[in-house]
Amino acid sequence: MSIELKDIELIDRYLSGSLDAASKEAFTTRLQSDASLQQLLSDVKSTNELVKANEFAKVQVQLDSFSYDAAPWWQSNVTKYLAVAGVAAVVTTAVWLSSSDDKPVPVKENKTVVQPSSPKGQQFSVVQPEEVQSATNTKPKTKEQSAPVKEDQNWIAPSIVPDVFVPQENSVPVLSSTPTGPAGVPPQQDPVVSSPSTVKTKVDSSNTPPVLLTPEVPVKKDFYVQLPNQYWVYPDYMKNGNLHIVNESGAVINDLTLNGSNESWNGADRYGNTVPSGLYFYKFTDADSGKIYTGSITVVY
Amino acid sequence: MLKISDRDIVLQLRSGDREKVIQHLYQTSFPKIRSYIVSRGGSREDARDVFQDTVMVFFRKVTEGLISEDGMNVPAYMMNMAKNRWIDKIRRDQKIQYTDEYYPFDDRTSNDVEDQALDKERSKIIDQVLDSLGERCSELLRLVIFYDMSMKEIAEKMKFSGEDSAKTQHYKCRQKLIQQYRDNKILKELLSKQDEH
Repeated sequence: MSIELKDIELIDRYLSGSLDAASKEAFTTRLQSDASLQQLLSDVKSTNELVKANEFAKVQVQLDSFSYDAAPWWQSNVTKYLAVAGVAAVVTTAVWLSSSDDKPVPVKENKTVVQPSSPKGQQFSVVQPEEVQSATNTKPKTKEQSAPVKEDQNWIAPSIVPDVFVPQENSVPVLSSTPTGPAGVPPQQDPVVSSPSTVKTKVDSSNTPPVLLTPEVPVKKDFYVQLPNQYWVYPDYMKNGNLHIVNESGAVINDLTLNGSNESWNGADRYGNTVPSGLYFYKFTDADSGKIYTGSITVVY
Repeated sequence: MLKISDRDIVLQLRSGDREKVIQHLYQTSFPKIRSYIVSRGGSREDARDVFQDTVMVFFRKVTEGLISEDGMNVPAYMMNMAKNRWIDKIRRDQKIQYTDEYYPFDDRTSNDVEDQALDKERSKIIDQVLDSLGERCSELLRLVIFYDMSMKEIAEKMKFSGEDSAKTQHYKCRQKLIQQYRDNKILKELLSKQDEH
């Protein structure tokens, strides 16, 4: 059965209603007696529907291709991973800060370079191990620079032995040691340098040039508190600002606003309960300078 | 993200350029629809179904010339349509006693578009039939039959030498399609089953 193009066109116009009255009458008359035209009309209708349905099917395929299971950004795995990584980074940094310098005696793995500042070992200043190395070629620092450190020592618990001690006089050679002696007293053990940046070795005092280092106001400082009789007395540079304290897990213990009238932390959490023994981390943001001070607070009873 | 004006959404859908438009609708409307449905106890699958249904209805209305490109706020239209379809679904499923009223928006007179959509088997066969006509022929038939474009528009879009050339080519393609249809017994059987259903 041949398909005439003119018949397809005629059917198209009939279906679209564009035939004039006379043409339409003629078409319907012919349709009644022409079986092939009837078949063609039926086939045109069917193929038209096929094309339309196929187009809808393609839209449906495109719609199906989208990822509807993707969670909103705040529920996405990537966001969760980033959050976990962020918390891990904070905890790691806090732990690193607490173990990098100025560590109290009980933490034996601390890297220390200790040097008595006087025969009785009553005066110490704190310095980074890296600074010790560079200090061999540096001039003694001024008294003004060392002043804050001395003040800090005043409120550190007596049992604290800072990680790194530097004499106040440059005539004394550098020694290194793991402090195990009584609070405030330089240890008597064999001097050993233990630091990521310094090889573990004995220091020959005869070959080591004299060192006098007084660090600037520390931005990282660890404290020790013997509760309930001893509070953490804030250092001088913590006057006005926000003090954020968290525990080892990163949970917020307290958020305090210091305005100059606050003098100490009594070990209370945000609900007024005294915290248990443990290691805590703090971050103080100076409201005036914006400077940030961090470190740990070892609380024991 | 694709940015298409509301006017262009309608015009492009009407001219057969639906790929980017539907992608745009997915990026802009789906998050809002999902948020709406999930906040009302629906699942993500519910949101997907409603969104797809909404797009299909919108698509059909545009291609049937029932939506004007002038003054059209597509996001609001899509959202209202989705809300109404969601309310319909809730009431139909009787999952909960839903108190929301229909939005003052008439979109529920259309027949379900999914009823017109073909299942995969038939769609595959139709694809084969149309592919056998050649890409140009298939596109020409799509523009004439589905998008109801004039020969002048088609001549410009498909770069024919003129309307007459496009018209002649169109009827030749129609002729080939009908012949293919007549020769394809499997397709005819599938369609007859659909008619019975």
